[in-house]
Amino acid sequence: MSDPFSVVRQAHRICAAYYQQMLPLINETAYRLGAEFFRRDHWSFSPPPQRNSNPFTCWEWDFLPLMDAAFVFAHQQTASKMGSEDFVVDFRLVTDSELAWEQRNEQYGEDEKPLASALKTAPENAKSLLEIYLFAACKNGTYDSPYTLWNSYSGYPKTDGTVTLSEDEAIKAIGFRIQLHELAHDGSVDALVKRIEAHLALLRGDKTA
Amino acid sequence: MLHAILNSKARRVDVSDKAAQSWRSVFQNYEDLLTAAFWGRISYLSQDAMQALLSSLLATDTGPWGKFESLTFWPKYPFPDELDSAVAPWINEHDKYAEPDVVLTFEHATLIVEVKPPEGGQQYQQQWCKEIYAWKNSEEAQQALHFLAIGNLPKHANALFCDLKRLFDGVSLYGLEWREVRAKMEHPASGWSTEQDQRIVADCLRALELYGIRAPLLPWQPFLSSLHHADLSAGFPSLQGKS
Repeated sequence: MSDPFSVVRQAHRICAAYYQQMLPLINETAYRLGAEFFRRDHWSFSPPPQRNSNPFTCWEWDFLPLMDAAFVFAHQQTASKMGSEDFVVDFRLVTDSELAWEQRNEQYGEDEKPLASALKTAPENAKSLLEIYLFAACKNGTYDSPYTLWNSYSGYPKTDGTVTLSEDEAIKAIGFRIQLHELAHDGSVDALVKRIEAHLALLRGDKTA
Repeated sequence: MLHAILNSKARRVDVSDKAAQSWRSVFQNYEDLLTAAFWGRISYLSQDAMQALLSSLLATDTGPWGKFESLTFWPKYPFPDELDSAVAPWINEHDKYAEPDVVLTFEHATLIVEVKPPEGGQQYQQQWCKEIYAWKNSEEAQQALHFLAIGNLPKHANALFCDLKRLFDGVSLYGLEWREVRAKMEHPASGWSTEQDQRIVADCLRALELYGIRAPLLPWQPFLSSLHHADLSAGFPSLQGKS
């Protein structure tokens, strides 16, 4: 009799292989942009609990740490404050769009733990995405660190490639998204860096604030 | 210091009259800091690990070099007052000394290392020649000399090495790119024997990362092939979702 759990083993190996492809890609892209890592965030579900926390009180989904996670880097060139050429780049990895924070809330409710065997959208009808957001201060020196700048922008801008201002008009932001299958080729980092630089030029050139 | 930079804990520094820069960018822009961060750690390796590493990098058995004795950064070797006619065309009359980046002294051999970081300038034959010639005229020139150029080698480095071998009898010359150094340190033929050596090598690799000398990204094709051949859903229709 074949062991049905071989599929579970296979699924976990695929997850690890997927992380081994995606995490270096994100890190390499940030490096090419001259940006340093400063923050990781989990939007949908939480990261796995700490060792001394009772794991049976959290959602089982929390053991899939990269379902909807953000990796945030900053390019801070010279000044002690965020200057006009400085920016924050946020790579939001959405492994399954059905379970991205916004979609999950809408489909299942914020406090409802979705049952993995009864999700409403089939995997082939969902998407795997890398969303990229760029943030910059409208005025030189408003923010003393990349984190305060990034944290002062509520949520994310749309991913339509247009510049959006924060509510207080102190931060400008722009975003775009790309499906992971479009990135799944050697040399995709070069194309991704060019695309980010093009959006960065739009962001820096925007004078609406 | 290296770990403070890598973990974004080192803040900013004033360099001459320029605006404050991050320690990270200072490190990346000054090749001497790469030299010090990398080779300073290499000198902490155990005798066995040092021998294994150098043998692997140079593709030669460094066992006969004997015990590692010392590492010197940027020693100054003066040129003799009267230059040999064979090397005179290589040395400018205003040059007083040569200053290789690193000199490792062993019981029976010396290794001179000339370092160029990925973003730095090219290696060039004239500099190699000056360093070898100045060393051969120093008090240290009692034993076999090995010369290693790392990073940004010119296309025909081997032909240039042959020229110098003809000029300096008995000197062995080697050239390596940083990615080769990284690969040989990261995937040693027989592993690192002690935990201390493993930690030192891990530190060296992290120092190289700071200069963009990183492990290459994995190719996508093997991963995509494995996905193509996986059919996880066949036995789990309930995981298919409703739409």
